[in-house]
Parts: sequence; C-alpha cells; structure tokens
Amino acid sequence: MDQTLLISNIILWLLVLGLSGVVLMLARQIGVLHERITPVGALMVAKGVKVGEASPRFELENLNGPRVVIGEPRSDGTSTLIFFVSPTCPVCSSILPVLRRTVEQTPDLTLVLASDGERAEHEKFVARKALNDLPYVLSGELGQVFGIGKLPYGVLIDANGILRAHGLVNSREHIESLIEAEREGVASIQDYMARGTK
Amino acid sequence: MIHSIDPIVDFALRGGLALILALAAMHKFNDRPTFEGQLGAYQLLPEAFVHAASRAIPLCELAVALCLLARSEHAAYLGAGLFAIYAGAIAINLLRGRRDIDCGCGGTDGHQALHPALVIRNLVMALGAGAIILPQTMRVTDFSDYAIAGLAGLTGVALYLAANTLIAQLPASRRLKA
Repeated sequence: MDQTLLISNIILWLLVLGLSGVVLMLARQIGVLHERITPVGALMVAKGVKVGEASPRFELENLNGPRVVIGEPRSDGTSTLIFFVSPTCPVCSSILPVLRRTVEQTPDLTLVLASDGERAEHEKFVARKALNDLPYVLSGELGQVFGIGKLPYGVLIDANGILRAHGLVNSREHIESLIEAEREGVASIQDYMARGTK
Repeated sequence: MIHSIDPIVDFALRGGLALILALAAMHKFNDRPTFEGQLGAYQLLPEAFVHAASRAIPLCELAVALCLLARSEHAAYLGAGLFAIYAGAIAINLLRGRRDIDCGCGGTDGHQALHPALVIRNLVMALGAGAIILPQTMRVTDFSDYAIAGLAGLTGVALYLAANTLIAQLPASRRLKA
C-alpha cells in the first residue's frame, strides 16, 4: 500500500507540474492571438483629417522658442512629424530618445512635440526629459483635428502641407513605418496590406 | 488555528516568492525608463522622488528575494509588506477611477492595465509571504522534503505566471465580446 501511494504521489506531482506548464503556454498563446487580431504597425484611427488631404493651418505658441506654423507649404522642403505626447504616458517617455535618434538620422524631417493641458505640468516634463531644444506646442484643437485618441501618436505632414501618414507609435519600428509610409506613398501598414491583397 | 507550518510549505513558499520577486526585479531593471514612467503615472509619490524610487524598488525586491532564500525571519514581514503596498497602490488608483494607467506588473509585454484582480493577486501573495512568519514544525527533513518543496514552488510560480498572463488579457477579452 505504501509503495502504491508513493508511486501515485510521484506521478501526480509530475502531472501537476506538466499541467501548470501547459496552462501557462495556453495563456501565452491566447496573448499572441489577441495581438494578432489587433492591427499591426502604426495603428491608424479613422477620424480627423485623411491622408492625402491638406492639413488645416495652425500657428501655435511654442514652449521652447518661436511660434510654430503647421499645415503650410514649406520652402525648405522639409516634412514635419508632429508627435503627440503626454507627461503621464509611460511609453511616451521611453520612446522619446529613440524618436530623437530616428529623426536626426532622417534628412528633411523636423520634429514637433504636441500635447494639451496645464502649461506648468508640461514645462516640468520638458525640464525633466531635457526637451528644451525641440518645439513643444500645447493645443487641444490640434489633437481634435487629427483625431488623436491614444498616445503616443505620430502625424507626418510633407513639405506641401499635405498629411502623408499618421498612426499610434509604440516602438522604433512604428516610427520607421510612418517615415517609410510617406516615402512609399501609402497611408499606413494596413493600407499597404489592403493594396497587396487586391 | 494553525500554530506552525511544515518545513515543506515553508521552503516552497520561500523559493516560489523569491523567484517571483527576482523575475519582477529583472523586468524593472531591463526597462528602467518605462518603469519610471509607470511609477510616475501612479501619482502617489512626489515627482522629485519618482526617479530615485524607480531605481530603489527593483533593488528592494531583489533584497527581499535574497532574504527569503537566506531563510531570514524578517523576510516574511518585508515580503508581505511589499505585496501589500503594491495592492494598496493599485487599489488607490482604481478608486480614483484611473483604470487605464499601466500597472507595471510585467504582463504579457509589459503593458497591463489596472484591474481589481491585481489587488486580489497581490493580497494572496502577501498572505503567502505572511504564512512564513509562522514557526516551522520541528521535524527531521531529508532530500525528499526539499524535492517536494522545489516541485511545489515551481508549480506555484508557473500557475502565478499563467494567472497573471490571463489577468493581463482580461481587458482585451472583454473588448472582443463587446
């Protein structure tokens, strides 16, 4: 009897450990499925100004320098990447260094940070993250015009003031996908995939 | 009323909790800027302390993990305190209605919204750590005790990770149903 109990116990232990492993793997696979059914790339939210349309003209006060004009043809041929951030969004803080590097490596691209809310809070954010050298504008209207729902969000406007690409940005690949989208003349990864299947 | 716990339970709890704390600390070490942002988003600490605290918390977790393994008597109080503080921090922000901030508990890919289940999870962990406070039953232990404790600890950690992954997916699952 003792022998049987011992063996049964060993087998049960092995089974419990195996089962826990299987449950863990299943849970992770459900996670992968969740990721798969949400769109990839810089997710585009279908609101606000559409790709290919001219951006409305904005002249906004800049926390770090002269006023910034958005949505006007630029004589120097540079595109503008408006990057919507918030001091309370963790991903925004962690992606800013990557964003800076990517923009520095891309010719003919200027970066404008945009947000909304209390000025004092943003000044603290600028000081904390050492963003004094970047244009930083505060405007709720700007966000509404481009239909910004989630942060961090990137909006790319070309030298002629035309909206070329926009999307939710969570990684270096997402930033690059926006720049690439402008170069290739597609609105977003989703748009590119849709064209490929036609 | 339980007055003492068997050495197997003690070993298993210590090993399992130490592993979970070490994993959590590693997560936070690997992505310090994100953790700093997450900690700031909780809005519980004065801004000036957030940076220092974001470095200190993983160190605390690692220290408690080592204390647990070293079979220190105080480790139980420290561990239970740590988990209780996390539960409290999450509960406060849930009460404030800020469900959408990042938990920083290392979900599937480090992004996990706050959820009441996380409070319960942390309270269960605090209870587990608290159980180590009880004195061990005196008896002779041999190799088989350590083996069983190891298996139990490992199983516990696997189930913890599975439960955590599922909690992290709750909001996504709810969106699918809607």
